[in-house]
Formats: sequence, structure tokens, C-alpha cells
Amino acid sequence: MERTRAQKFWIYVGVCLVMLFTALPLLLLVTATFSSSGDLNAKTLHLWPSEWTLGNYSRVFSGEASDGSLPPFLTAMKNSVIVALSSTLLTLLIGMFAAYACARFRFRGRDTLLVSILGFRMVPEVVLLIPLYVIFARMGMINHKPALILIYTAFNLPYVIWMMQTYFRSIPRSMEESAQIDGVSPLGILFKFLLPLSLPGLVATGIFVLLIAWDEFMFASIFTSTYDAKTITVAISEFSKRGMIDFGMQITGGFLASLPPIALALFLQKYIISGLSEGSEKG
Amino acid sequence: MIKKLRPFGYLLPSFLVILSVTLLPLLYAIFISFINLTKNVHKLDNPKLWDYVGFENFAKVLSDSSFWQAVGRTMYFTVTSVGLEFALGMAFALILNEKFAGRGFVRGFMLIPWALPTIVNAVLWKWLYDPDHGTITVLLATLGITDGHFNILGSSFSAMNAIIIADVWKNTAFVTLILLAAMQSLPAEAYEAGKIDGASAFRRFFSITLPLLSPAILVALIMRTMEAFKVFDIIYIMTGGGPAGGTQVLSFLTYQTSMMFGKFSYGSSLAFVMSIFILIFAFIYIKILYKKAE
Amino acid sequence: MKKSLLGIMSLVLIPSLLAGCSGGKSANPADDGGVQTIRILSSDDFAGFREKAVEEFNAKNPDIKVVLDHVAYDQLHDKELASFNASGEAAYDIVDVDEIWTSEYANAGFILPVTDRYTDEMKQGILPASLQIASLGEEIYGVPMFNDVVFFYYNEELLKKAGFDHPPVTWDEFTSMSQALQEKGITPGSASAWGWSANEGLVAYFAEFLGSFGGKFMDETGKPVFNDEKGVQALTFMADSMKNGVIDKASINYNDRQVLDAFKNGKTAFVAGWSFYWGELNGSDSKVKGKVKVGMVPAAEGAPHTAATGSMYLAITPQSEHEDAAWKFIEYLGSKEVQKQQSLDAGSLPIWKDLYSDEDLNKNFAALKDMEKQLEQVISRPSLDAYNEFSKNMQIALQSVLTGQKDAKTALDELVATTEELQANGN
Repeated sequence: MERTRAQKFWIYVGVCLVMLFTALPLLLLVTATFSSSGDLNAKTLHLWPSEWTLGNYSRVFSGEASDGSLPPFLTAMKNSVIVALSSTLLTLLIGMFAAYACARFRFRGRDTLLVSILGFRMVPEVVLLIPLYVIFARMGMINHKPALILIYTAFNLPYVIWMMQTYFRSIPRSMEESAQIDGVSPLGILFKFLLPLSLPGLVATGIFVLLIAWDEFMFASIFTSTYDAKTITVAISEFSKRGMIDFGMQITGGFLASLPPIALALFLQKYIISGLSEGSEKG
Repeated sequence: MIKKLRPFGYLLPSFLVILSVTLLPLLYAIFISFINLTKNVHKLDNPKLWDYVGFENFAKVLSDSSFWQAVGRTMYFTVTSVGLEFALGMAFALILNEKFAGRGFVRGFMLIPWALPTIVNAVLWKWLYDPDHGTITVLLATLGITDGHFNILGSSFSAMNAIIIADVWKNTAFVTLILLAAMQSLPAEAYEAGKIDGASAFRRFFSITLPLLSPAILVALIMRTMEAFKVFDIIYIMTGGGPAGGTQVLSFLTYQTSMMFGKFSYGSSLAFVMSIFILIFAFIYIKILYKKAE
Repeated sequence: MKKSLLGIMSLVLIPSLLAGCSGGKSANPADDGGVQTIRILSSDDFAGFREKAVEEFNAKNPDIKVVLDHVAYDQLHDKELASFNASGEAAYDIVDVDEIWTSEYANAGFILPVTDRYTDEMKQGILPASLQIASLGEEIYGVPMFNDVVFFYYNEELLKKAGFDHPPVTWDEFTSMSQALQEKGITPGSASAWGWSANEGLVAYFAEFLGSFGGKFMDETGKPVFNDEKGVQALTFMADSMKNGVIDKASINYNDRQVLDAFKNGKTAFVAGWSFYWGELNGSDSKVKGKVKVGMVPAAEGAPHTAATGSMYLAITPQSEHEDAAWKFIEYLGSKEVQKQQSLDAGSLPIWKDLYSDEDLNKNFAALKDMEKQLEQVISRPSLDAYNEFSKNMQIALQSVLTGQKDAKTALDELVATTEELQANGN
């Protein structure tokens, strides 16, 4: 669809507004990480650091870990990677089967089941804080990563089941039916036909779930007290001491902690939007 | 027989996880909201110590003025932030759906705020609003909009709206992403037909684009409403429920009641009443969703 | 109905109870080869020093292994409350307790009294102000790890410029000096700023005024009396000083960090704050280095010059299986040698009386003698089971007066009523 000159002008105005909306706070975030505490604590307008410094970065990476191997910040990053990745993989693995059951099998109460699965995502997490703490404490799982992995898996399963079954349903059944006649087992159909065809959906769902797991704070904060278990969100919140907030350190740690999810989100964007747009442009 | 049981086999792992990590703890929480339990759960090990109070805790919640104030604040937060996110997200999606130079870059760049962890977003905006050296505070004073440095997070009304702005900045991108993906899959004829009819851009948007987008709109609204109603992290970091309780939303009130004051039973009751509100939202949305799907 | 409901609920609870059997007290996997593991949940106060001290202790005591977990102070209480409900590995032998949590923890049985473990040397040698923060009734619940109150710092140079050769003794003098400092342009604005935003610090500042106007939080029977004439005077003084500009009007928005910055840059002449201010004020980036002194908190006519306490102590939990080993470690951290080292390394105030005349410490810490004098006159925030709730209520009430929405009498009367309600509810 061709646009007139005037329309094009307004589109570019709109694009500029979107860019400004997004970029301004981000710019302040990035420049703050390179600012000295003098600039950060100035009472006059500072949109640009008067001197560029890496002081915040060196403070973030300083400090000794309990076992002397990695500084606490990097240990927390490592913990977050382990927790978020494992829970994502686990969620995709078990959610995929459930989604397959809902998309391709008829059984009594299927629709009710789907709705109630989504209903579990609506429970305010805070209500589960104490029961889960008590249960995991009795099993000796506090301060151990599997506790958080399991919790995030349970919280994200509804999203995964719901999203994956939508992708599965959008794949036409005709091919499977002929395969079925050839005697391919239901699991074979899932792995040979459905999964390869819905790979973009699987990746998109996975990234979405990974971002949520990376983001979680309330449970991580109550469930982890040791270096070996604290995740990145907890580590960032701990950069503030009593009555003393080292903003430079907090924002720099935060910026570094945001890089992995940002990279993933950009990847997600390419996957979802460009994939879909290619399809629609061709069509 | 085995054939019939097969789907249940596939559902079993998910069922076990949800049962053990969501359903059982949920029943546990329901249970403690019927007894009087403060600070010490070891009391639960001995049934003789269970102090059964029936619906007393729930009655107390419903007559608790701080609960209703928190409901009001949560509603305000949810409606305002989701409303703004939807309006901005729709506008952004419409713009980014057009052809322009550097489109791929802008689409990716726009997503970055959404990828920032909530904690980081909260830290960033808390600093921008800092009463002494926050960029926004200083800017407002420099431009003469406020008389000297105004403490944005220091009064209930401005603090709540400041948090909403921070939340909108982060989550608009998510709404944009969902709507944009849906727009990409709309048939081009939908637009073409409107053009031939000579319908104005606005009418075309409301009569053609919007109805076609409604499933995606609902998905975006449901997901954002759920999360907004449960908002906790950003409040915990930015204001801790202050000033003078002015940003105390339901999740925070529940957390405070349980984890700070140690009133486990009362906290659980609060959370349940809160769940009922969310279920009402969900019910309305799902009703609409099913209607549209048919 | 009631029975069947309970029946269903207990069925639901069975799995978690079963889990409880497997993870009870006996299953502490860390105990092997006769080494007793002591786990500590601590705030991040002096974290670096404590880690070093743990290493030294572990080296000296091969049969004990101390494991220190430290978390942000803001999250400490909530994590401790959760851990008291845990068993096995998630439970801690030793917890770090803020003085304001004593009543809550002790009455719920979350921490054990250690009165009998105190030696005579400890009972007599540790400052009474310090012992007080770890005590409830007749019992002592732990050993304080440092001593801290809200000190009254003043900028001697600015005061001299205005023609004053001593810090204010009374609150009236504080007012007249502040006005003189501002009128003569020696301070660009008000002569002092206070951290009266809604946080725990505000309660401590109020305690400071309450005590120095001759009031107190509770009477001997535990009945709240801070709404008496003295309390109303104290709060009215706070609100009026802010209204007429003696105290910076923006105090309502400041925390204790921001008021420190203003003082550190020579913008204000007085600041009330914790002992760590001293190190900050004499740091290399301070504009008032060497010009700052510690005075007594001003007081109303005939009232004591009280400062508000704010220290923390280590206590043993009943979840510990190695109470003796735990006590050994606490005693070690509280010992004179380690306390002295902590003061030298981290600038903390020691709990032992005679360390205040220690030569090394005085060389290192010029204000030590002045601070010791202040430590003799202190007021503590009240010990309540529901302290956190009380504190939240109090912050709201105080701010409503400071912002002029209510008068002091009304707000304090209301607060006393809600406090009595909290006490009556037993939690």
C-alpha cells in the first residue's frame, strides 16, 4: 500500500516519538553506569557525564565470594543462568506433552482443563510464599537452586501449555493423518511433525518464559540467603546497604544483568515479527 | 483402553508439578486462613493446637479499611497502567507496521525496556525521581514546572502515578509486540477494501483493523491485567508501599501482613480475597474471548 | 461441617507433614567427622570484617565450622521470620537481631535467653546502654555486636563563624543558633536537615526528641504514654521547627543518607546520625574533614540529653543443635580483642566500657570520648511483639503532623489507641 508524501512525513514523526520514548530513559541508564558518584549526586541537570569512569563497573565486580572463586555478582549471574535455563527447559519439556494432549486428543473435560490451567497463573504468587517455604524447608531445599527451578516451572507451565497448544492447533492435521495410517506412534508424530513445524513457536515461548524466570524477585529473595543460591535480582537489591544506596553500583549491576534478556528479546523479535511478516508478505 | 489413557499420560508430568507446587500449597494456604496462625507454623504439626476460627479472618478482611484502600489503589494502578500501555502499544504497533527506513532496528530497539528486569527498571526510575539529584526532579525544577525540587515519590498521588509511568515505560513494548505480530498476519485485503471505499483512516481502523485484531488485543489485555493486579516488585523497590501507605497495593499489603508482621493466617485470607478479584477479571475476559472465538 | 473441613484439610497436609518427618532436626548432613556446623544469618553490617573473623575463628576451632550468610538489612527480618519456620538446613543456629525485634522474637520463642551464659566480666564490662538493647524483662538474649545511637554532630567552624563557642545545650538554644546561622548567611539555607521521610529512621529521630523533652514511650507497666504533655511538646517542636524553617522544610523527604550529604558539603551546621557518619565526614571526599565534633543531643529544660539507640546483636535460635558452639562464636565476636579490632578496621563503636579509653582506639577515632558520654544517656524504641506494625503506624502518624494535616495531640492520641489495640491482640 503506497503512502502519500504527507502520510510518510507523519509516519516518520511517529517513529521518532517511539524512539524518543524508548531511548531517553535507556540513555540515562547507560550514561549513569559510566558516571562518577559526583555526577550522580549533583543537584544540577546532568544529562551527560562530566567525566567517563569505569569505577562503577570495578565495584560491581569486586568483592570476594565465600569460596573465593567468583565475585558475588558473577556468582549471582551464574545462578540466574542456571535457574532460568533449567526451569525453561523443564517447562518446555513437560508443557509440550500437555499441550500435545490438549491439541490433538479428545477427552472429557478438556476445555475446562485448559481454562483451569490458565486459572493457576492467576493465583497471586504471594499467597504461595509461606506454604512453599515451609514445604521446601522441610525437604531441605531452601538455598538450593532446584527449589527456585521447580517454582518457576510450575508458575510458567500454564503459559507454555496454552501457547504451545495454540501453535500445535494451527498446524493442519492432514500430514499426521497419513502418517498415522502408516503406523507412526503418537510420540513419533509429536517429534517428527508437530515440533519441527512449530519450532519458531517453541523458541518464542521459551524465550518468553526465560525472561519471566530471569525477572523473578519475591521468591528468590525469601528463598535464597547464600552466595551459592542468590539470583541476580536479589544481588542487585542487595547493592543498597542500610541507609546507604550506592546507586552507581546498583544501576551498573542492573545494566549488566539486563544484557542477557535484552539479547534474547532482540532474538525473539526477529523470530516472531520477521517470521510472521515474511509469511504475510508472501501471502 | 491404553489409547484412551494416553492423553492423561502426557498430562501427568504437568499435573504433578502444578499439583505439588501450586495446588497443594494453595490448599495449605486456604487451610491456614481458617485457623489462627501467627509467626510460627510449627503449631501446624500438632492438630490439637489448631485454633479454628472459621470465616473470621475473611470477615476481618472485608471490614478492614486498609484492605479496601489497597483494593482502590490496585484498581487505579491496573486500570491506568494497562489502559496507557494499551493505547501507547496500539499506536506504536500501527506506526511500526508501516514501511520506513530502519524498521527492523526500531522494532528491536523498542523491545529493550520490556527485557529489563523489573527490579532494574524500578532502580532506574527511583533514581530518576530522586528528590535531590534525580534527572526528572531536577528537570522539572529547571524548567520551572515545580517550585524547587519536588519529591515525586514523597506524596501518595504523585508517587502512584510515577510508578505507573515506570511500569508503562517497561510494559508498553510487550503490548506492541503482541499487536504488531497480529497485524503482520492480517490479510492485506482488509486494508485495501477500506481504501477503495474511501473510508477515512480512522473509520477504517475502527471498523476493519480493530475487530480483526480483537483476539490479540484480548491476549495482551489479559496478560497485562493479571500481572498489573499482582504488582509487587516495582513497589517494593521504589516506595516500599509508602509514603504513608499511599502506594500500598494488594500484593504488597499481603506480603507485609505475612512476612513483616508475621500474620500468616490473615495474610492468606487477604490473598484469597484478592484471588477472587482476579478470577472475576479473568472470567469477564474469558467470556469475551470465547464469544469472539465462536 | 467443621469436622469434615478439617478432615479434608489434614488430608491435604499429609504430604507436607511426611516431608517434615524426613527433614527434621536429625537430618543435618553438614555434621560429619565430629565437626559442628554453625550457620549464621546476618545483616551486611561490617560484612567484610565478620567474614575475616569467621575465618580466624574456624582456624582456631577445628571442631567447629562457622558458615556466615549475610543479606541486605532491608530483607533480614523477613528472611529470619521465614527461617524460624524452617527446619534442617534452612534453619540457622545464630541470627542477627535488631533491638526493635527483641520482643517479637523472644516472646514467640524464636531466640533463646543467654543470661546464664553471661560471665560477670561481661555483665560488668559491657556498657549498660549496650546490654539494654539485647534485654527483655530479666533476660538477656544475645551479645551486641556494636554500639550505635543517633549522635548529634556539629560543624565547629561554622559555629565559630557565627560567634558560638559551644554546641547548643537546649532545644531553645538550638533554635536561636540555627536562626543566627541562617540570618548571617553562614549556612545557605536552614542550619540543619533531618531524615524524616517515612522509614524506620523517623521513629528513631522521634525517640530522640521524645527522650530529650523528658518523655518516654511506655511506662513501667508497658502502657504507652508517649501522648502525654512531653510527647506532644516534642512532636510539636519537630513540626514547628520545620514550619518556620529552623529545620529544612524538605526534611520530610530526606533519609539519613541525604542529610549526611548536605552536612558533608558544609551546607548545614548540625546533623543527627549514626556512628558511621564519623567515618564519612572524615573521609577524603568530605569538605568538612577535621571540622566536625560530636556534642550531646540538646534537651528541653531539665530533661536528659538522650540519643536513640540502634544496635544489633547475635542470638541463638532453639533450632540450633550446637548451642554451646554457637555461644562460643558469639562470645568470640563480642570479646574485647575482636571488638577492638572491629573498631580499628571498620570504625564501629565497641560494646566494652574500657575500650573507650583505649589508646589505639582513641588515636584512630577522635570522637570516641565524646561519643562515650552520649552513650550514657540513651532512649530505645519500644519493645513490642508487633513492632513492625507499630512502626508503620507511627511513621504515618508522625508524617501527618509534620505535614500539618493533624496536630500533635490528636495524632499521638490516635496512635496510642492503635498501639493499645496491637498490644491487646497479643501480636
